[in-house]
Amino acid sequence: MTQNKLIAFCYLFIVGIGLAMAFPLGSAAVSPLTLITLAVGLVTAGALYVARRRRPVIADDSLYAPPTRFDTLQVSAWVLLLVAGLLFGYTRYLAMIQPPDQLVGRVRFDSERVTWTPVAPMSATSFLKIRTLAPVENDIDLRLVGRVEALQPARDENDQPILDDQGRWNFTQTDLKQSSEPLHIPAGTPAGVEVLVTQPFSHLDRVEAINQPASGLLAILKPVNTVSLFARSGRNVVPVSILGRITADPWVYSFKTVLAITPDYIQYRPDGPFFPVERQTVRVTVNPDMPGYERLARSPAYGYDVALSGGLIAPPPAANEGAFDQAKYLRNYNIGGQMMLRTPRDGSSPLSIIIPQGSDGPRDGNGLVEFSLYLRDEMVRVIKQTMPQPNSAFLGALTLGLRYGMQNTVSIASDQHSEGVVAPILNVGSNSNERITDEFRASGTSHVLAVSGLHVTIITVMFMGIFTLLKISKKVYVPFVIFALVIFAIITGARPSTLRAVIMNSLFLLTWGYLGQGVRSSALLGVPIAAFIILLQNPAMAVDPSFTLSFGAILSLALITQPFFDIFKKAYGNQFIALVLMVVVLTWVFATHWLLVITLRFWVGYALLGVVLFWLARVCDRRDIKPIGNYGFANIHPGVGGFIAAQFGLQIGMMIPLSAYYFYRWPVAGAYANLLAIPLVGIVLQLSMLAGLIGLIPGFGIYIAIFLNAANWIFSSMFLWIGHYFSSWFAYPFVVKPTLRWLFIYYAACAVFVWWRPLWFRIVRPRWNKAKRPARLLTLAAVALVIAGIFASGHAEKKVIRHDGQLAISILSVRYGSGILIDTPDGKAILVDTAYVQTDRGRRNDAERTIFPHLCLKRIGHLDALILTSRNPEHMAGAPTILEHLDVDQLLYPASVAPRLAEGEIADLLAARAPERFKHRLSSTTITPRALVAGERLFESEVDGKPFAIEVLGPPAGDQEAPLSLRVVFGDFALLIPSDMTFAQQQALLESASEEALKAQVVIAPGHGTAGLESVTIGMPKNVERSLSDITGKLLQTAGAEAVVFEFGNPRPVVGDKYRIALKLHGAARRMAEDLLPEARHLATDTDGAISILSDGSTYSLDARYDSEVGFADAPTSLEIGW
Amino acid sequence: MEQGSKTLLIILVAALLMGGLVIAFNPAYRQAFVCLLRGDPASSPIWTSNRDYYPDVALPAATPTAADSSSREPDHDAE
Repeated sequence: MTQNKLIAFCYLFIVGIGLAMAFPLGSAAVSPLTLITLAVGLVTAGALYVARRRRPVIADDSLYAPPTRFDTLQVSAWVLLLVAGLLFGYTRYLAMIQPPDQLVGRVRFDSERVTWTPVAPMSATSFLKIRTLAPVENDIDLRLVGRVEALQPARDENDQPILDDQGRWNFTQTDLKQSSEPLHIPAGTPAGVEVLVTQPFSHLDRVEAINQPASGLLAILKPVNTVSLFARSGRNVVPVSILGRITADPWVYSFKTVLAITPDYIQYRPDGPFFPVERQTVRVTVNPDMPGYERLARSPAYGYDVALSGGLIAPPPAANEGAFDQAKYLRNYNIGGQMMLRTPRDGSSPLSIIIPQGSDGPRDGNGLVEFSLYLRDEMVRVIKQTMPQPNSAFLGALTLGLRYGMQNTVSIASDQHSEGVVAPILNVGSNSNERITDEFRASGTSHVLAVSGLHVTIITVMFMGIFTLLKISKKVYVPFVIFALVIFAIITGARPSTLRAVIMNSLFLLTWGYLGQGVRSSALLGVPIAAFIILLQNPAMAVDPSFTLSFGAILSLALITQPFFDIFKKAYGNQFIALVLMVVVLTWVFATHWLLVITLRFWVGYALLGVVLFWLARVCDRRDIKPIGNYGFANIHPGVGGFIAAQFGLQIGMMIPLSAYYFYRWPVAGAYANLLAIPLVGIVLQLSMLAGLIGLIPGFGIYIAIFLNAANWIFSSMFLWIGHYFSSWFAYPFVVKPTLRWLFIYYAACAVFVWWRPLWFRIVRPRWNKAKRPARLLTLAAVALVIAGIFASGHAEKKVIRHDGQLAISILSVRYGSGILIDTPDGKAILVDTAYVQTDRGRRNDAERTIFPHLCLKRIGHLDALILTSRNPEHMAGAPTILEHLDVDQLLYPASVAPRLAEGEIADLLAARAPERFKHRLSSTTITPRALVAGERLFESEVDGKPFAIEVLGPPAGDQEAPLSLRVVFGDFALLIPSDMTFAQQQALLESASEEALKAQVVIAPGHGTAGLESVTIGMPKNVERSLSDITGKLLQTAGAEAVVFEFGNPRPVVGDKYRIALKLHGAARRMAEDLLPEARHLATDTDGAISILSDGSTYSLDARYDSEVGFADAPTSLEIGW
Repeated sequence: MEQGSKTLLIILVAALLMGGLVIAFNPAYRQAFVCLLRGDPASSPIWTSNRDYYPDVALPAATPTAADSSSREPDHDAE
């Protein structure tokens, strides 16, 4: 019972965190909530104590026992416990995201005077906040007056800040009088509004009123000095200086290193004082050209004290709806700002490693972490001597969590390895240049790179095996194994999944070693306790994929595996054959035709096949035709049978819902590949760990290590082949993202599946048997109503998401490229252009990364048309990705694009999806390509009396060069898409089209604002300013543009060395547009994010994703994020 | 647990035998083993294949290699 209470408390703690995320209160609520939580906690403890003493004896507590009579005291204790857990979770999350401000004093204004009531002295130099405590009736103008203890670091002869031998920064302090700028709080400001005063104060002496308002009540607060308080938004921000320490193992890429620096002090303004910093870290990116880079790009840099200077940027939120949210991700990891260090022109380093006075070298970090990192480097050295590429990169990631080492490691099937220094075991060389990490993702085996329960359990078992071999008692070796697990967690980066597994395994070892408990009971207790410990430290982790997937996996294994096993073992004899055949058919269709799987006709056919097969099985049973006798799932070895059932449990409980929710994709191959991959990991990981540890033994160790890793070369190659072949055999489809409501319904259904026996026998059946006929009918009607309501609400939800009856246009932020989604008023989905695919270093496919997540979020699984407007790669490079994964009815393009469609991957795809191909006729997923010419009108319809059409303005018939120019019209609203038109083509359009035909409220700037770039050889093209104003400017003016949108981003990956010219041209185009159309809105997808347009045919609204300009910050790579 | 330790022992012995076969028949592994015996692991083909893999982790006598400074991160919008 105590165990159940503990489990319930931990889960309610998590629910409390979820509630705080959904419905957060302000920071003012933190202190009262803390008090309430404490009070409820005390009352709960008392109630539990009393309830325990008066607990009645329960005769039968089996699942099938009739319901027991409710004991009021017990129920009250339970309710209190749950409320305490809920409150605790809520308060903990709130206190983390909104640290409570310190109340410095209150100011009361009345018609005669200002009353300043100090409450507490300021604890440190900080900014100040003014909060209105009552609605403001008259304008308030005030000034804060006080002092600042300005700290400036003492510097040595090299102008470096001085750190004493105790690791404290030395400062000189100057006491200065301080008064704020005049502050204005306008009448009508409601209570609770806060104004930040970005001037430093150490003491606040008084508040001066500049005017004399009749009334007003304000609180002066000192905010907590978090890193995010000092982070700025926008480009070209004023640099800050930081004195701090590297507090994590550096993440070393081949082209950059990412450091986690915990600041002790930040100087916000170049000549201002240094502020002590209390919370959060800074993510600092350094490039190899920075002086002293090599000292930072290695493990020993952990623990170094550093002084650095650069722009501290607030992480930008997602530029597109549904895309990766950098701000949220970094906040979850307690990162308050980002810096990208630039080397100044004088060649000096923006980051200095500071050596404490009296020391020979920089300080070390935490001893245990230092030891772990040293151990890791030594094991890497063993791997490098005993395992060739690419297996060594895989082994490093699997055994030591070194995922960054796999950044550029291409598939084992690449020719690159066949021609390498060490030839592969089997020459399976091909022109595959997929990265191993991508192959693992597509084959559903990438979980082996995220060190989790599987790894920790294998290592636990390995150490237990070693100690047992050495005949050491478990009571003696359990602490050693736990210590080894802690070291392993540190080595591998202590991510939530690893911590969860280490906590759970440690709990298991303790309960098994000293209390004699079994695996299942310790797992059910260990899961919530591990979650509680991790979330207590960082509650924001609750929604992080690494946390959710890890806990989803272990809960699926613990709860869903057994019900599947119970179902499967009922199949024997001919029924077993039918079941196997059904699985084979499903696998075959999964592998050969995913687009058929997502049709209703397939599932109807599949269900019919099931009926026929199981009917045949019965017929054969009756006639005593039993080719395999009564052999069935129950006859399979329990370990193998349980493993197969576990794969089903993992897919249903974790992979299908959570992969769709977080990544919009489901690795179909995972269910099959893991049947081989997981047992193989058991061998590869153990051998690698043993080789790594034995290799550390001086003398003979390395010789044993090379023997072990020579064998492991074969096993690890097998794993890499699994990744390669399963990713090429099976699709890695995009799937519609479920909303939280659907996830809840899905998991509720899973819960019914898992606990149907107690639900049926203890709750439903006793009441159903007692109920009279009308009550039964009423119950059935209520259930039917709930199910109908769920489906109706789902339908309504989709209508809202798709803006039913309105024209919704999303101009996506896809860097220097184009991707526009048109959601027509009559429900058609049309994609115009597919963005660029970067294939060199830092590969990035915006069709995958941006367009598909957006489509999945909008629940679009079928495109009525894909329109490619230009042959330039920033418009059509993503087309193969879109065509491969999506059902597209029509492919429309100008004549200039036709040659591109006849070559490469896109030609193969179009041939495979040609209308005469039976395979795709079966799933109605054939594609009809068609060239467009000026004068055509596409997708004409009428909604609420307002006509909709996409008008083709160009190219004229016979033009083999010009891009497609379109005008999207709905009632009175129009959007003009000129695509990549040169100046000459723009001029031709102006001359050929009537003024009325070009009218549009919103115009996309031609050629991303870099028209003219195509004719550049050296330097800026001649007369570009004139062409811009005479031609592009005239086009914008003729259209009568109220808004001009530049689809812009870093042009370098697309245009190469011409990127500087492209930047200049873009700047000139923007200035021209702003000068010629001063009343219009000028937006760019790099600084404003994605642009959303919504029109009902009469009016329209245009919203940019970002309210204010965001700063450019180095984005975490998929290796860093872990998916 | 007895079963687990037995399995571990079997894996270990089988791996050593299998490793021996690989070293005997695979030229790269054979050469790597010989280089280790000669005390010259730097010229081993396995070590050479890992030249760009964590270049800061070097052999005890060698100096760590710095990362390629030509591959600087672009200034704008890079991953």
